[in-house]
Amino acid sequence: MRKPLFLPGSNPLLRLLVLAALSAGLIYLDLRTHRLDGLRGALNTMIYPLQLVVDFPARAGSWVNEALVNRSRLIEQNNRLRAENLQLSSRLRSLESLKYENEELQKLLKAARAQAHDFVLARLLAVSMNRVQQRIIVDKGSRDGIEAGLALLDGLGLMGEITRVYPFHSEAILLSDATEAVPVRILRNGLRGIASGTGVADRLDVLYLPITADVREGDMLVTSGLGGRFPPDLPVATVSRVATTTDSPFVQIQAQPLAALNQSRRVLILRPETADR
Amino acid sequence: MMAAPHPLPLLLSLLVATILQLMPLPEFATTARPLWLPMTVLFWNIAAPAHFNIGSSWAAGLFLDLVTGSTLGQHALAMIVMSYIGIRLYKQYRLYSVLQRLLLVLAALLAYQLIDAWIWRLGGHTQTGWGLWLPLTTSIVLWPWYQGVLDWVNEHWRGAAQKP
Repeated sequence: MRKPLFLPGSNPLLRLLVLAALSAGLIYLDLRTHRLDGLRGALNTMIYPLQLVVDFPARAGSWVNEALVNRSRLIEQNNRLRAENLQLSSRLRSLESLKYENEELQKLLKAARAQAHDFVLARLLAVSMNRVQQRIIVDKGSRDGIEAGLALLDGLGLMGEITRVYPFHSEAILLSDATEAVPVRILRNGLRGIASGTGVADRLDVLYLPITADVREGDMLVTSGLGGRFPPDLPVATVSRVATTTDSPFVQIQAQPLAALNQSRRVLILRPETADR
Repeated sequence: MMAAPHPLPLLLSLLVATILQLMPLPEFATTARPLWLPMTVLFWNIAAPAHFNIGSSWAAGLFLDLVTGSTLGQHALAMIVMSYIGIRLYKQYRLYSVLQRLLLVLAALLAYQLIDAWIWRLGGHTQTGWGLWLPLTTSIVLWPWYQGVLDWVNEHWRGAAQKP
């Protein structure tokens, strides 16, 4: 049984005041300084087994699902995947030659060589999504070479950024979080802007493009690589709405993230290749 | 003095509430997700105030801070103010009509939501209307049933444990 922190019979108001003061101190230290990062890391590593327990129903659900899939469906799926694989690998080969050509051209231009990356496959452990905060926990941590600031993707596009790393797991902030912003450019014409989260999973706002900017619905936004946080040219979103108002010098652009921010349970973390470091 | 609750349903209910609180869900369900963990903590505050006291609520809140990655102390503070309301009025709760009970729960959960939103704002997150009121509404609607289930589980286990 959970032991009460105070002896029974003591005054609830006193307890409230003592613990409220303690909480206020913690909030102050956490918001205004970074002195609690070590404590948070230690506590978070301690409760990691609990995080796995919390994730257990979802894991058991998918296991049951996999166990009950029948043979004919497996064969069908296998055939489909094989066909898809064939298509993708032929496309990849043509991309390889393009990549080679591109590298040669960049060498001629004496441009800095782009950093090579590899992927770490991770699973979602928990989400904390509401209108104020859009964060997820994934099951890979510093033990797997994850660092704060790495990009998080699903098969479709950029999802967000790793913010805190613990030994066995890490925390990521999603693009749609209201405090998150990504430097982007329009693939069609190279115009640069900032895609900022709105707190709603299927909407980003693109800021600071003048009214005269050439933006159309359906334009693809990719990371610009400015600021060095994310590698360039990762797909981010498509423009869904463009509007101008008379009282603002900037055009109002809404975009829909390409990644399934609230559906993907398997995610990729983009890690710089160790050989290049 | 109230009989101590059996630890098994207590811990089990907190675990299930945490799972419900953190489970990945589609967008509309995420916005309307009831405050599972605060509801569970409030239930035990009212059902066993001497055993599940403000200190226990604080620990549950701190746990929520850690697993959601929010500011440390944020949910802990919201949780203890909510629990204080519950623990102060647990005797009256037994005598109240259904409507009065719902009002008490509403007041406690509202305090929780407002403090939570206020600390979010301190951390630079802006709060919009739906995110604040929708979880509160679904929590209140679910409360009578949720309380009924937890009451039944609590009584059942306590009865089973007292038999020789």
